[in-house]
Amino acid sequence: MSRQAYRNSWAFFALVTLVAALVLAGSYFWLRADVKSEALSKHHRQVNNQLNQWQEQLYDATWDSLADTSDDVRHLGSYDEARLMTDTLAWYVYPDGHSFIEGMAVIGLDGQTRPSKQAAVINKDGEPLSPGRLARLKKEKPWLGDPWLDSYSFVIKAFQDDPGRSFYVSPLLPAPGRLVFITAAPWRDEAGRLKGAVIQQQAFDQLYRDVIKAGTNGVSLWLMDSRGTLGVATDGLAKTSAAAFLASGALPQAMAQGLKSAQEGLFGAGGSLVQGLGRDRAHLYWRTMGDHLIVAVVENAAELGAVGQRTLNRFGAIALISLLLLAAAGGAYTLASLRRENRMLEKTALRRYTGTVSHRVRNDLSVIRGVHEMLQHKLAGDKGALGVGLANAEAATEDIEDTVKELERLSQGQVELVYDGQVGKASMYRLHPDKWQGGQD
Amino acid sequence: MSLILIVDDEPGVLQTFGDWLESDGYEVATAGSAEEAMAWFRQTDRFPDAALLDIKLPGANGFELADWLSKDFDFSDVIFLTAFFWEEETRQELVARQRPYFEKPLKFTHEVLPFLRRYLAERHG
Repeated sequence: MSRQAYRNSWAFFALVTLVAALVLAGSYFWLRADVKSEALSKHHRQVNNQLNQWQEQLYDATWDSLADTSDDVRHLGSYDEARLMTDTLAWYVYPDGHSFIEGMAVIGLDGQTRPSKQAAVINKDGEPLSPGRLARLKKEKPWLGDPWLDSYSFVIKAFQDDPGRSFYVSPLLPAPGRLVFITAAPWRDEAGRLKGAVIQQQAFDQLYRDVIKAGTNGVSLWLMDSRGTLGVATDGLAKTSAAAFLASGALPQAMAQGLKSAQEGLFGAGGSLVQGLGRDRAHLYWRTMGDHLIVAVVENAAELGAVGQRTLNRFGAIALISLLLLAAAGGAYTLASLRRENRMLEKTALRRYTGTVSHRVRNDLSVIRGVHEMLQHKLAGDKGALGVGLANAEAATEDIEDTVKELERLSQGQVELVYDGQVGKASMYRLHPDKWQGGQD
Repeated sequence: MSLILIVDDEPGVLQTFGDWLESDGYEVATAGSAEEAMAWFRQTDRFPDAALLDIKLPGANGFELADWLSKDFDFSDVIFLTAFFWEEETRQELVARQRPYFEKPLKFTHEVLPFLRRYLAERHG
């Protein structure tokens, strides 16, 4: 086989392998984009759904609280104030089933809680907790003994500033050891003059744990009020994101959208943006609860890029292994083909050569036979050594003739050469009398 | 005495064949190629009684020489010699021409000489 043919075969193999590699690589990148796109899309839907759910739950929690205060205001005219509080507070049982921590109170125009205020520590039957249990709870919740703010004059002021105002939701307020927020309804006399307000004070941490925390496993989340007070940040990324959000001036815009949405009867506004956090980029998804609170989930863009990466890595590994196997199989096939073609060429050349040899040998045999027959003719009847030698020579000549005929059958493809292994670089062949050219083994 | 022309490019064959024919009483002329044979025909004043033509010759082959002899000299007493009878193409041509032939290696005592004697006797009485 010529060097050119050898090079062509391997070039073809290299080309096929290259094309296969390109196809696999193209598939990998296409699939990567597709998987990432699909995974990200699915992920975004999940995040948005979760945020919508939180938004609704926050909204419900706040409005439930406001509804309670409004109900209590209506009942103040017919109930004893203290009795009202006791009855109402029975509904606000702390999740441990034995006590509540925050509570409701009636405040006067001076912003102080009236004598009817609940110490916020009663059991589910409305009875004061035992001193021992109260002591244990105070250890666990250091603010428990003093849950009330010094003054709620800001609530009174809000209602005084806006006589038509029917409810109030405070921003997050620092109380001893915790952040709280206040919901309130105005208490007015029949002439509409403000007499005070019924407030409900809730620990923001409590609200967070009741409404949101269960769904935050592995999520970077932050919660902020309309003034930028950070209520919750689940991790460092969330803190950084919240600070960046505040610093960017996006908060007032989000709250303005939230107010507008609330006026249109929605829970609030929502959106998403990309944040540059130092060297990292993050995706931020946010929702407002009216214009009071904003809850946001933040995700590092690099981590988002890892979505579906495991599947892709597996595909990549499979593609690579497939390519290697393909290359190995192609290489082996090419090598075998080259060897087979080489042997075919050898056989073809050999066949042609046998024709040439046959012609030469037949002519030579003509001479030998002529001489031999001449000698036999002239030495007819010789029974000596020469006569025996001539007889042997005739037998040898006939054997050569048979050999020539065999070569001619080979040359004509009437018998086939079969590969008989290698001796060094030399291919060996033997005649296969049952194997005809173009036939089968 | 019959004259026989032998055309073969193998000197050994020419020599051996010539010796045999001469020993059997023939007059022998030889040529190593078709062109040489044509030249011999052009200058001879006596055509052979038979021409033994090897098929494989340098230049024109034995079949072409037979055609030339027939066309130029109206000579057709040719007998072919071949070492290629095993070739399908050669075999078919020989059969088609319906001329006698000997397959090499030549078997003088048992095939060639008896045939020639019979052939020449039939041709020339």
